[in-house]
Parts: sequence; structure tokens; C-alpha cells
Amino acid sequence: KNSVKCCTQSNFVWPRISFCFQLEAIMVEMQDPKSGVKGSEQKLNVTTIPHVIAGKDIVAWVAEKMKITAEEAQAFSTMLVAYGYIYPLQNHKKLVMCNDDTLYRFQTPYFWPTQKYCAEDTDYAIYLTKRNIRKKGMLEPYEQAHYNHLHDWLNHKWDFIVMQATEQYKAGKERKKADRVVFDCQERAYWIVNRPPVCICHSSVKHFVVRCNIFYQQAIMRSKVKSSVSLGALVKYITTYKNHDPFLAPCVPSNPWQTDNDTYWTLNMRRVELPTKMRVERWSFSLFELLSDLRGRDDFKIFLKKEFSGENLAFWEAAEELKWGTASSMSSKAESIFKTFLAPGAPRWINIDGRTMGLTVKGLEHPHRYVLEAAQTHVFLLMKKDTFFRYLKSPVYKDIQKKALNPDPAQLEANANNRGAGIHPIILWQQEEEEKAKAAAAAAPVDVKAMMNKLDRKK
Amino acid sequence: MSLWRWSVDELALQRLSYITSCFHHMVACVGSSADGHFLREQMEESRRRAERVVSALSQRLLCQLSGSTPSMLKDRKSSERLWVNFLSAVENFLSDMRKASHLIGWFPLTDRRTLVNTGAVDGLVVLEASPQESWISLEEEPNLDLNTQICRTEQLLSELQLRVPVFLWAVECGNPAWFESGTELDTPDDSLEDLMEVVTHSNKVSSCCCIRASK
Repeated sequence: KNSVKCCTQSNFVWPRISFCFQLEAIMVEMQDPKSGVKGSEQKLNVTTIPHVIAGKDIVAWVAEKMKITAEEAQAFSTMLVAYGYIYPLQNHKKLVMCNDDTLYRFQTPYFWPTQKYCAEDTDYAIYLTKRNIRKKGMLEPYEQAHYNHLHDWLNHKWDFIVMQATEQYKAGKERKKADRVVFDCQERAYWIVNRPPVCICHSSVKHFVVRCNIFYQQAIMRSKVKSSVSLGALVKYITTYKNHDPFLAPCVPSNPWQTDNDTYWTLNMRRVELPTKMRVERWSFSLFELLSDLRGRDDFKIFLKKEFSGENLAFWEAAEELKWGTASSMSSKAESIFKTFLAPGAPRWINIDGRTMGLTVKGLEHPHRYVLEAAQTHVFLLMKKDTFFRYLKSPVYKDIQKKALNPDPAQLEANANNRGAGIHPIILWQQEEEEKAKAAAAAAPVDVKAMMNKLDRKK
Repeated sequence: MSLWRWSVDELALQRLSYITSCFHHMVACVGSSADGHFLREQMEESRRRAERVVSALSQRLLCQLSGSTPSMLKDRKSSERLWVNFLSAVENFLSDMRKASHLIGWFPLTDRRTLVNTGAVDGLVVLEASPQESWISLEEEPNLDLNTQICRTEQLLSELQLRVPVFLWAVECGNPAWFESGTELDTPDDSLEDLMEVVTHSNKVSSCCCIRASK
């Protein structure tokens, strides 16, 4: 399981949240020579490096600064280590903050986590190559696995990676020894955070590879369509539908939102006697359009009645009802469908191939919403390939085509264009306010004294 | 396609790699205790030199690869490889420049107290003057500021990728995965673990960062 993460974790993207800004501010505050965290020097064999800090000092500072308990401060500080703002000097793979004399150091801002850039594979490859150049056999097993994986998929720029690793390594050697140690620690800490060490188990690697294989084989076996073909289909679709698109072509007779006239809606209602010409034309585009428009479906039913072949459509409708109906009605519906359409000798027996029939009947023993899917598709295809085209050539369709309405758009559009701007809402609002004020004044309780004074004065 | 010409381009690429590596080291110090005005000046200097190498080399490679002169297959292959490596180098340098711009904006050096105490003291990697850069016969550009250079490099990259019809992933590298390091690195270097050894009070040498170290 772990090796899955190892091999597929290429660019881990940091969460895009603003807590980074706050953490950075705290990190900067820690640096203040007076009020920040006190550091000391680290004496190594080869050199002395300043700015080493003890875990307990960090925890104490955080607790003081944020006014929290020591446990909370330790948890917070552990997060700082886990995200890579601070790194441990001993036991560098364990990213926790210990509340004792364990030594830490601040990470350089270049390696701080940031929302802008994720840790790139190319950089990781350069880092691993650098380690390899420096001393062969230094890479741990998980790093070797990463290295091999990167060599495979970054193969095209591997010469660059080797060259850059070599040059970075040589440039590093030019620096002072102490600074060089610091930089190497920083880099190592950065990659521990961004490519965490995992324990590789060889059998799980094999299992992972097997699963990858299956995935890619399935992907290859999937049917694909050439882009030329799909673009051709798109062009055909646009050509067919462009006059029916409400944005590209005007509504006939008029757009009710623009002319305030709702003839368009009334003419296209569900149970209208005579549909519009555009609507009828749309039925001819595909069986799907014909069946989706319930008015068209009615017309199709008229035709089928004349042909005495209505059972296909009836079955299709029954299957739709099953699909979209309530769960409680499903078993009863399934039973009635079976009795009506599928049982041998049924009154409206549909003629589907033996295999589909067998599967469907078997499925009906434990009916669910989509148990008739295969049969329904088959019936739909039968209708599409045969009945639909006969319908389009039939007198029923031609009749309705002739009778269909073609409303005249001219006058309504002209009305729309001649409309005035109307009264400005602000003026309407002012009028309303005036009326409200008058009504309030009229409804106010009468001041008897003032009224009497008024009457007296009038006298 | 003379042999001499190939080595010039490859040397130029190596030169670019050297300059960008120095830049990389310096950028890693921005915002830390090793940061300073001199460091920033050296960064400016190195990125300008990189810019010159990038412009010159891109023009040369563009001539070789987008031209219609039929070249030998072997030459073409190594030309393409050089091209891919060049593009990768420019991309890598561009990402470092972006980070530099971000960091410089963030740590403006006005208040040294805000710099992070990383333990580094001196970030400098002084670029050596190179006779190899004298072949670049470009006129001296007026001083480019960092953000302008970033924009120009981005534009250059997209233009280069449009004009040269080379598939990046189709190029094979020349190096095997686990290769022997080059002859310049004669002395095997100390590992980080060796360097981090600390002399403890009891005069026993213990590793500072070894897994088995006690706390």
C-alpha cells in the first residue's frame, strides 16, 4: 500500500489555504534577536554552525507567544516541523518536535512550503542524482525506487538532470564548509517533507505493478473514436440543430421575454391539437427527439396503431415507468410487464432475440430498476431502424407536417421594437412613497386639539 | 555540421548549467541569515549572464533545428537531444527566477531582524569569469530587472516550443541510470552523515543525524 504512494506521488500539491501566511509571520517573529527564540552554536567535527535551537526553547516560546499550554505548543511546533519550517538535526526522518534538548534549525525560506509551487519531480531527480554523484550507494531503497521511476519517465531530459546535478554539486563545493553542511541539511530536510520515506515491500510493488497493467490494458482496449470522426459528428449535429437553437435562431412567433406575448408558449404546449412546423421538423431528427416530445410520441402512437405494431412502444414506455417509478411499485410493475409483454403467449408479446429474452426473464426473478435495460435498448433499436423511418414516410406524418402551424413573427417583433422605455423605476418608487405617506397621514390618529383649533380658526 | 560546432553548443549548455547552479545556491540563501546586498548583486550578475547565454544559444539552436537544411540522422538526433536539454535548463532556471522574485519581494533587506537564522553565514558562490562566454557576440543589453527577465524568458520558451517541431518525450538520453561519476570528482566525498558527526563529552564520536542515534 505504501509503495503505491511512493510510485504515484509525483507532484504533491499543498492545500491552498491561507494558514501558510500566518505560519510564516510566526516564523519571522521567531527570528527577532531580542524577542525571538534563542539559538546557540553547534560544534561538529569539521566546523561550527550557528543558529541551532533546542526543542524545549521553541515549545516554550510558542506557548508564551500564543498563550497556550505546553501540550498545545508542542503540537503546534510539531506541525511546524511536519510542514518543513523547522527541521530536526538528529533523527532527521522523524518530523516531530520534542520538548527537550533535541536540536533543530530553521529552514531557509526558499524551502518553505508555499502555495505557489509544488515540489517538482525534476528537482527531486537532480537532488537524488547529486546524492549519487557525491557518494555511490547512498540512496535508500525508497529513494532508489523513486530514482528508477524518475529515470524512466524523465528520460528525455536525463542528460540535463545529470549535468545540473554535477554543476550544483561543484558549485556547492566552492562554498565554505559550514555553509555547505547547512545547505545539504536544508535540502535533505526539504525532500524528507516532500517525498516522505516509505518502507518498500517487494511483493506489494509487484501487486501494484500488476494492477497498473490491468488498468492500462483496459484503457487500451476501450473503443476510441478518431477526432476527425467526432468532429464530423459535431458538425452534423450543429447543422441539424442550428435553426432550432433558442440563441442562434429567433423564436417563432416571438420571444415572450422580449415582446410580452406568450403565443410561443401556448402554441407549444403538451396537448396542443396542431403543433408548430418547427416542432414537427424536430421530430424527424431522431427517434429520441420524437419520443422525448410527448406530442410527437402521441403522433407516433397514432401511426403505430394503424400498423398494428404498438407493442414495442408500449413496452418501451412501461420500461421507462419502471425506471423512473417508485421503489415500492417496482415488483408489481415488473410482474405486469412480464405478463403483458414477455411471457410466452402474452397478449402484447415483443419480438426480441432469445439471448436478451433469457437474460431479462432471469433478471425479473429479482427485479430492480434497470432489469429491463437490455430489452428496452433492443426494442428502441428495432423501432429506430425500422419503424421510425416508415413513420417519417407515412401519411400520418406528412399530414401533420402539412397541418402544422407557422405563426407570423412580423407584427410582434415590430411591436417589441416600438416599445417605449417605460416609466423609470425610481419615478415609480417615488410615486409609491408619496402615496404611502398620504395613506399614513390619513390613517394617523387624529389630534383632537389640533383639529379643534383648526375648526376654530376656520370659523 | 562540423564537430567543432557541436562542442561549442554543448559547452555553452554546460556553461548555462553552471551559471544557473550558482544562481540556485544563491536563491536558497535569500531571506536567510546569509542574505545581503552583495549576495543580491551577485544574483543579478549571474542571471544577466545566464540571459546572454540563453539568448545566444537559443538563436543558434533555432537556426539548426527549424531550418530546412537536411541533416544527417545522427546529427539531427544529437541536435534534438541538445534542444531538449536546453529547454529543460531554461525551464529550471525560470522556476528558480520566479522563486527568487517571490522571496526578494518578501524579504526586502530593510530589516535584518526578519531574516531567518538558518545557520548559513555566507551564501556567495562567486561566478568565475569565463573565456567561453566571449563567443557570445551580442550587444550589451540595458540592465534587465528580474520580472522583465522572467516575462521574456517565458515568452522565449513558448516561442521556441512553437517553432521547433521536436517531441520532447521522443528523445532518448545518453546517460545510463546508475552511471559512474565523471573524472573531475576524483576524491570520494564525505557523506552528510560523516560531516555531521559530533564529538561528545565522553570523547566518543557519535553521529548527529544517524537513525540509530539516541536522543
